[in-house]
Amino acid sequence: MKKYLIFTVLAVMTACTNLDEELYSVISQDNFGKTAAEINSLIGPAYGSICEYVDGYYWYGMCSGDDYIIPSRGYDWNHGGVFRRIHEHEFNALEADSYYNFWRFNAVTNINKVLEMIEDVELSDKPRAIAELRSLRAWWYFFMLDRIGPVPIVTKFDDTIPTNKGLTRKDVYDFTVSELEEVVESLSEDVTPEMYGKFNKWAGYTLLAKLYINAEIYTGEPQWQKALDACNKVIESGAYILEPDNDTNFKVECENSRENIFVIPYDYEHFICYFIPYQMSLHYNQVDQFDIRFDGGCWNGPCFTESFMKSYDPKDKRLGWFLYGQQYSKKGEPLTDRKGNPLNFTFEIADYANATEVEGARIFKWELEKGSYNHLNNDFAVFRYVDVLLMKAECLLRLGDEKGARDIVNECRERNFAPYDASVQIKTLTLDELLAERGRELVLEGWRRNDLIRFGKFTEPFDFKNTQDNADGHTLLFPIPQIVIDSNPGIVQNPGY
Amino acid sequence: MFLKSKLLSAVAAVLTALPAMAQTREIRGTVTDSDGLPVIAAGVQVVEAPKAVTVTGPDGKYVLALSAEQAKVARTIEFSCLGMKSVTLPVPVSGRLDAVLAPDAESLQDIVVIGYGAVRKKDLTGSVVNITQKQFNKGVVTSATDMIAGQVAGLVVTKAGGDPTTEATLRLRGTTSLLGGNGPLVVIDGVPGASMNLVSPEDIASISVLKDASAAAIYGARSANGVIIITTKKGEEGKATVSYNGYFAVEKAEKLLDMMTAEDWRAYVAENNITSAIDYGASTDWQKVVTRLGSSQSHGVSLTGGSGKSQYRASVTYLNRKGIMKENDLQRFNADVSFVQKAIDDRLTVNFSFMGSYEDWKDLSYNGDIWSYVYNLNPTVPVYNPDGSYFQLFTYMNYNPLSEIEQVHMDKSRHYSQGRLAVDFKILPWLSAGVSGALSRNNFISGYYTPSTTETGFATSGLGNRTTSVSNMRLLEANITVDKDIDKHHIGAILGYSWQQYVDENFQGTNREFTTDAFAYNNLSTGNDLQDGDVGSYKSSSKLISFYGRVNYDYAGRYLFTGTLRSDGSSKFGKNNRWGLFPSASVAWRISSEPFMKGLSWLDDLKLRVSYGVTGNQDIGNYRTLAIYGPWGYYFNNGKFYPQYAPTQNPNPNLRWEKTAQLDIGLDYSFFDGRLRGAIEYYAKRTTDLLYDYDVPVPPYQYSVMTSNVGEVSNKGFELTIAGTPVMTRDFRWDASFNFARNSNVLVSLSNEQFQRDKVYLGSYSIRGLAETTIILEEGLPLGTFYGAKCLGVDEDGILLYEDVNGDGKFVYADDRTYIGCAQPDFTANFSSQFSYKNFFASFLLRGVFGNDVINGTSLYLSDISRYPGENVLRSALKKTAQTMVYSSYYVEDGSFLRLDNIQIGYNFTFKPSVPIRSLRLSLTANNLFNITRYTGIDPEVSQSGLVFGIDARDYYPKTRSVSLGMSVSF
Repeated sequence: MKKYLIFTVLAVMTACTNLDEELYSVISQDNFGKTAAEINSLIGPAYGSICEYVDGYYWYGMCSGDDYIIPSRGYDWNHGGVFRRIHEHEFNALEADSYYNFWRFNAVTNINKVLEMIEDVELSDKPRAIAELRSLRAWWYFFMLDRIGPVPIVTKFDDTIPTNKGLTRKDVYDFTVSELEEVVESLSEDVTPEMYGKFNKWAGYTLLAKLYINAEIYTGEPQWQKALDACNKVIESGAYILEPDNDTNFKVECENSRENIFVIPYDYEHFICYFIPYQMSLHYNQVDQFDIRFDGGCWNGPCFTESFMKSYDPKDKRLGWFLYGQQYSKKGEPLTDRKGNPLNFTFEIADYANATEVEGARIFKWELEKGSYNHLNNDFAVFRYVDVLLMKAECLLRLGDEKGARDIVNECRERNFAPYDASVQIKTLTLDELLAERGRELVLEGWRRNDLIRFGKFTEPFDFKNTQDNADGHTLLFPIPQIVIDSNPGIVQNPGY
Repeated sequence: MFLKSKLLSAVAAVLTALPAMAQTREIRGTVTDSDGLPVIAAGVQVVEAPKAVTVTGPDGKYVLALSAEQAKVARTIEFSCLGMKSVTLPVPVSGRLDAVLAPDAESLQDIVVIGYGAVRKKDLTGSVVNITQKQFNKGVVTSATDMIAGQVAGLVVTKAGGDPTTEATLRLRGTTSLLGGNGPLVVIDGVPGASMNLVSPEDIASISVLKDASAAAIYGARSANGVIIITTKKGEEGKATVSYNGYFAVEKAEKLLDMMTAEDWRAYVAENNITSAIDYGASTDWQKVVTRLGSSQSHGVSLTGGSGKSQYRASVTYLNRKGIMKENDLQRFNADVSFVQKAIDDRLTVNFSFMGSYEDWKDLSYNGDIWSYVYNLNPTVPVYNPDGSYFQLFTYMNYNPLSEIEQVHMDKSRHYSQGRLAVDFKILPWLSAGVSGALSRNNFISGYYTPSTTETGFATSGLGNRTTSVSNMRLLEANITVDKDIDKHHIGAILGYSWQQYVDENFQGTNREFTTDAFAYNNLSTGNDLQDGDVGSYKSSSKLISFYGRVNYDYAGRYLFTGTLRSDGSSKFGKNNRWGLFPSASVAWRISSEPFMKGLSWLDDLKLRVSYGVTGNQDIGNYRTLAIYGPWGYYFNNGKFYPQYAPTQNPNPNLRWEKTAQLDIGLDYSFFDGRLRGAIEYYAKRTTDLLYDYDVPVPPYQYSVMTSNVGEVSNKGFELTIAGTPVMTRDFRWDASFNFARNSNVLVSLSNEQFQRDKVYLGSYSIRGLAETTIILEEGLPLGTFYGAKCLGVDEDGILLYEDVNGDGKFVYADDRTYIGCAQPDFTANFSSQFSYKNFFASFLLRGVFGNDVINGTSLYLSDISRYPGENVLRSALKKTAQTMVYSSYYVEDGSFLRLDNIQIGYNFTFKPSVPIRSLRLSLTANNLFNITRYTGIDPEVSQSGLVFGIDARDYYPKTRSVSLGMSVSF
């Protein structure tokens, strides 16, 4: 009896001080990840992270090039002049926090965490899964290598606080290349819908080509031949073609495009980040022009420089990727701006510190679907076959084969003209001409800054950037965001910031 | 309530002892007030034998029976009654002793409710301010917060704007925390953590504000920001009474912005030859279009009554408020029932209470932009099309506000109830035990529907949502109290246990593309675009378990000591840090009771008190210490999207209590029979282990923020209260009170042994077009420090010039920012008075906040002349030169104000006993009759909540000015 009493007292005592938490709508990490479906749903986030490619920083960072700008329009889009400072290469670690934060270790850490998780579990086709995850990680490393340079190399998910002290950009390049070279052959060669939105072998070789072609910038030592070989791997696979109609690559449903190599399957319902080029660019009053349902309307922001727009031949079909001139409502009535001026987009921008509402041509590259939401349903091509061909041409040109290079560039251009006659063909291919062609073709696909740097033009004056960058070359890298340095004293800022 | 129980125990002791004891002596008499009227329920007690005690009857008469032993020691008898000045008279030879009690300006005998008990004001050792009915604010008063604004030194109540559906922010002795709540813990009738809206102002008897650690530490866990204890009215012994109390008020905007009218617009366009401007043909004053004459009314009926064994009170209150913005309505019903029953020779007391409130309101703040549309829109834009439909521009930020107000549903309702049963048993005259249990349920449901015909709903062809949530709280408390006198020593103690659990559940559903808008949100299945993630639910829970104790000791009422200790365990913290220990100690020296002060007849009370203690804060979300997976978006596989799971946070298993250590030194004084009284206080608070969503490095962490214990905040301050009764004659009485409080707040540190940083930028995107930091958190500076460009003046062209802070020869916004103001006030000061002349009465409260800065974002945006004539601007903008707008000190204004918060006059009717009406009282009250300020916006009383505060963000809902007529009558 006494025993029972003691038990009862103990039981009551325990209940009285029991503070264990009860979980309902979340799961403890000890209890999940046991079944294949659960594991797949956990590997998911590694791919989920590719969503963050086209975020706000993507658009703002692109303002550092010579084509895409965000002028201040009175109050609108002023933000204390930050977009103009980006264009003028007055970068600043503090502003990087909010406008050009390219620290992507959340994605890397995610992948490391998933790699650790699947270490001890049985998975069908595990080598391929690991190869894909490591390639994705390499892709993010390439992303950071290109934008912010010497970042810490982290391959494990543990408590170690990483540092980049003593690391060079070359170290990051070497790591990224070796990772890819190690796994690229284990990647799937499949180009069927099953691999759509995933990293296959050809995406792997395209990424290698991207690394090698920029090797001189990253390491001081060019690797044109290696870049050419990587391009040829993709080309010789025969898996891709130049789509006869360039617009096929920018359709809402572009699973049919045989040109897109690696895409991010943006989807209004499931996969949104900041793929809102139209909401940002279209004029407030253009809501009446298209059958769109943008929550928050249109914002009348980013546009293109006059020089860039004039780099297109008037016969170039790719001018259809832009809106310029008088805009009309669905009923065909001419639209006006908020002050009542005709909504007539001009190439010219008189004062980009205080532009009018109608200055600057606007983007219209991706198909604008009927009833579109602000976050587009269109998929976004990170790597396109045309880019591989243009890279091959560049390697050939730099290795001395102008004719071979020119033929490829003309092949790429042909579909944009009808007819593709002598007046628009390239007769002699120069590096400047190739850079311009890359600009015209890949506009807003995120390569302009990378190309300008490789062709030595990034630090030169261009539209609305009147001065040469500081000779120390620090502007070739963005600063590491201050918030990163504030939270980890082991991170050293890039020189010049 | 240990004083009351002390009294009762004494009574009980007398009653139970009577038959057994041979009485040897009887003293009789009558107690009257200065008008000769009998004083009912006055205490009569032999000072030398405290157990010899009785109370006067309805006729003021008493009979005090003394045992032989008591008679032997009896020398003096004390007569006391609430609100009267006590009198001590020598024991007469005759056996007859009458006493006359004069009204007391403020009685030191007044009972002050403290945590888990009550004491006489004179026995307090901590810093506690008790506000009772007389001081409560008048007029349109809809919650406990409204009743005490300006009445307590150091308690700043901020009600930003005039939206009746939003709640005020409370700050007691500064901001201590970086995360979560900075408001005091609210305790309603012994239940901690309740919502103020649960109880109608009509039902509140008193509100105690526990300011220092010694007073608050008994609530350990959640008391770092002070404690507000609300005690509701209870039934009273005597004749059953039915009362009505109500008011009706009309309200209008205190001030609107001076915007350009359509006439001004046309004149401007003509004068400046602007050919492109579109004249939409109408003349619309958008501020007028969306506003109306507001009104408030409240009606409460209560009944009370009871016998010696049981007392009851029941009341029902109805509140209806119509804000000055159209459709901004709120109605609330409150019911409050309490019943007290005594049994077993009055040794057992059972206390039952039930409080319920139901409220529904239309929330227009869901779309904080409505006021900005109002201020933004071109005045030539018509409200309606010729066919009667709403005229809409469909351009960003230029939505028709009336269309949004009238067509969009945002209906919310809440059902909140709390029941409590408490049983106290007096085991021995000096020992009792109590157990209580309480349940509360907060049931919230909202319905949102924006039809396809609005600018917010066209994109989705209508969008409907219903959200419902339930929060259940369960509380169990048990405690033992001791109350004993041994000679001149008095010992009181309480030892208790408390168990409290919260369970929160939620469910919501959304749909789009409705064929018809007729169903609004009432039939979501009629929508045709149900997307993934449109249906969701969650559930979470937390627990708080505590052991607490308090000891009070005093020697001869001169030397007082209180010590408390509370051990709190919270499920929100890591396994090793769940339990926190919160001790406090306070000592008081009643100098006025010292023999050497006896000669000073004008001195009633002089008490020096010192307290030190530690209180805690656990106001963070659940499960922050745990490694958990949650749904995290989707991934794409073979043409389809699948839900993915991911760790939802950086778990911090080391999370522990945020602790505030507070020193308080105070001097209470009362002179000239309470005609001049008050307190002077100094305090120093230091909050360590601040809970904050701290930026952490990625990697090793997966996310860039983690809830951590980092840093330190200090608040030091000085408070002064001077109250008095300058005039007190038979017919006329004037009570006045002044309080002053100064708090200086500093963020001492933002680092700990693991993480180091010295500043955090906050407040981006608070003003459109200026996605800038507005506020900086930096070591050595107060919270709420504004950070931006410093304006040096204006050049001859009207262009603002800014300081080149880093001296590189040019102004670059990002590099040239500095500290340009602070949202926290230097001091607050309030002055109130109550007057009575015969049956007339009057009162007022002047409420002042001084030395705080406000970012006038309204002016910053609406002064931009380059937006004109496309959009509207302030009239004053015409004097300004078009230029790039910069967030700078130019738009930081002095937010000091002195407001006549309320002023009332009224009359008390008196009736002959033959008339069934016992009392009738009529009053006329005006709220916010004037506001003296240099601030150029609508009103400087802007939001003070969160870490980004003190900003008038061009969507200010104008504060109102109201006049109300009140009546209370009882039968």
